[in-house]
Amino acid sequence: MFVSSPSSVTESNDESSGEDGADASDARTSELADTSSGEGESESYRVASYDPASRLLSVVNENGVPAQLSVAKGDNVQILGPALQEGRNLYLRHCMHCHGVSGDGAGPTAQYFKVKPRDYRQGVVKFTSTKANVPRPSRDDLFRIVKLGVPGTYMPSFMLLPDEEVHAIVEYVRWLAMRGEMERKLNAWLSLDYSKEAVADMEEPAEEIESAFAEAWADEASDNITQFSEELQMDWQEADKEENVVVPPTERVPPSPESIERGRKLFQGNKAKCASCHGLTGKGNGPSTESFNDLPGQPGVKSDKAGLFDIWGNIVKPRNLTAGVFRGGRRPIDIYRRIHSGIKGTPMQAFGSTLNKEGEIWDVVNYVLSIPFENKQGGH
Amino acid sequence: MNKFWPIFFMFWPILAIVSFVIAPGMDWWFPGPAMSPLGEQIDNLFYLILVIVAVTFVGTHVALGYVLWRGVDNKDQKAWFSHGSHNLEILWSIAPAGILMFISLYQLDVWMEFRVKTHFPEGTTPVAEVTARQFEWRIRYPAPGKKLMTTPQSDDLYTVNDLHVPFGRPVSIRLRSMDVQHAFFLPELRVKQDAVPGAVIPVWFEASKPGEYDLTCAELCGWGHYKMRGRVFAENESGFEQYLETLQAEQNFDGVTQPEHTGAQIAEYGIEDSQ
Ligand code: HEC
Ligand code: HEC
Ligand SMILES: [Cu+2]
Repeated sequence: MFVSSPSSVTESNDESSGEDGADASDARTSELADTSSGEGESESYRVASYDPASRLLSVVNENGVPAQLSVAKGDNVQILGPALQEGRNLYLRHCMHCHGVSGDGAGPTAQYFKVKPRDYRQGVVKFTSTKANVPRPSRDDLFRIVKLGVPGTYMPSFMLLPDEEVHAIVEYVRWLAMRGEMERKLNAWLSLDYSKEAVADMEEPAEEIESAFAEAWADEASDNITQFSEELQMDWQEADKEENVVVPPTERVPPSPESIERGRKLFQGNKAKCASCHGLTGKGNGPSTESFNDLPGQPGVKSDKAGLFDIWGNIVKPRNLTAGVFRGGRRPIDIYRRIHSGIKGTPMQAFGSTLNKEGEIWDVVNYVLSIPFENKQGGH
Repeated sequence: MNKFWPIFFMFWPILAIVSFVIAPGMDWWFPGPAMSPLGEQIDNLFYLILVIVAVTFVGTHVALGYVLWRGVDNKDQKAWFSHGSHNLEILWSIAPAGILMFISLYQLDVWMEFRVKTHFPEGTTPVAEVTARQFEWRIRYPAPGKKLMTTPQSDDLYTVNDLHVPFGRPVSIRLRSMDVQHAFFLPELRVKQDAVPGAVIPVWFEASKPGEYDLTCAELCGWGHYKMRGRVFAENESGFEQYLETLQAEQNFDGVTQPEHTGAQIAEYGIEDSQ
């Protein structure tokens, strides 16, 4: 499931030789071992046994059958248990009080914030470099978010944490997200026949329901769990693929007054309708903020509060672009990606296919970046 | 038993002297030697006051111990009763007042130089705006070759928790707070200044040597106070310029034209440069 960075190709990796790795990997047999060669291809196996002293590793394939690890000199073998364990310790120290023990975004301090800490359990984060149809963030995206924070919210920057620690935290955040997704998938599956309401409606005696449930579980659980984890694996692997990163087809159109003006027209016009949310001048007060919308995840059920919702059920305001604070980063490429793929989990959808003429997105980027300085003497 | 009190009072000055003597060796002292010229002066003031206080403390306790010690076995001599002595009252009012007066006048230069803008060293250049917020330091630099303006400019450069400055000359920052009161504290440089919401406070400092210095918040500002860990990275002029240029390249990155830098590379960039 885990791909190790192809750039760090070493014969053996510290994680498999370090002392603290020792007891951690002894304790588990279901860890994943991963090999990757210089070309960036990688395979993963389950660890059957691992002895840190002799560095003897034996693996099994997905069906539990002993497998032959095909490693050549220069390959990188990663055993991920210890990294996750370190990640968990760091997460508990630095993130838990906001993001919660299970990653549900409801840690003890979360109640004090207007913008709620991310609930990882849907596997969605807002600011990604990945394409619109890739639902997950890449490792690089998470790394960047942790390093730089989310300006304008209480998500702080962890710039000075050493890179290795941030990598470990990122692994753990991914793990929390996957765990959350797995639980949601299992829940959804079991709710088909055994939701609270369905069970309440059943007429059989409780013992019969229980035994029917146990039978269904015994029959189907294993297949379903395998299927769910394969889906998870695919989604998260997609996010780390280079071809799924949004790269503009052309370099930035210089931010000339003409380009900015074209961008302004697109922003206010009917093609992209940015102004319907962000307002004609970008103040974040467009008409959609005053309309009544469906509750997230419940199409057809109108909220009794006006405003837009994100998938976590919070009211989300379109950004006031005159403030010049960009949560997902202020580089032109960041704004480009926000427009191209949308802001995941929020009503701001992807505009990559609407603004498809050459340079159109760049014009809008140039306009957006110029909004804070409109009506002001620029520069010098 | 009747020697208890003289011994008790002698114990403290001895403890004080012993702890002063061993403190530097035990690392109970300052966070390293002062790394700025003004910091050295501040340390000197500290030592001056320390000496005055130590002499007074040790002196009075030794005198007290001596008097008690003699008094224990002295059954014949009658005590001299000084209560109500006008001269003595005047003496020990004027002597401390004089000492305090001396200290306040003597430190005035250093204080003015640190706090009063018109007394900042000549050539102090504003390098960045540092905005404290719960719980990080947001930093705004002017574009390379430009001056720091009071309002954000379209070509300003932004980063967080990592303040780079040139060493060997006085530089200043505009210190602000976005929410509550914080304090900009550079222990090695002996700089400490509150950041007050609504106010812009100029703070100057000069790192005498290149290197990495701690930046911490010294005003309990909320539950995440301890998270406000930053650093000041002092480097040579060309290193500093290069840093700004890297930051600029990073900030103008359009996904196509330049190689991508991550925030992490920015943080590391300076470290490599100093070594
Ligand atoms: C002070 C509270 C706080 C702490 C501590 C904190 N976060 Fe956050 N985090 C937030 C908030 C608030 C958001 C939501 C930002 C938004 O929605 O724009 C967030 C968002 C995120 C996101 C999602 C960003 C996106 O693009 O949607 C990730 C990932 C994240 N945090 C990871 C971490 C990690 C890892 C740590 C610990 C190293 C951490 N956070 C510590 C408050 C916090
Ligand atoms: C359906 C409403 C909607 C439309 C239409 C919309 N946005 Fe947004 N936009 C939002 C919301 C909501 C946010 C805040 C998301 C968040 O961070 O929670 C946002 C945030 C942004 C941001 C801030 C990104 C950051 O990093 O902070 C930018 C820039 C932006 N939008 C630009 C645009 C542009 C340009 C368009 C038109 C092409 C557009 N938006 C159309 C709702 C919308
Ligand atoms: Cu603080």
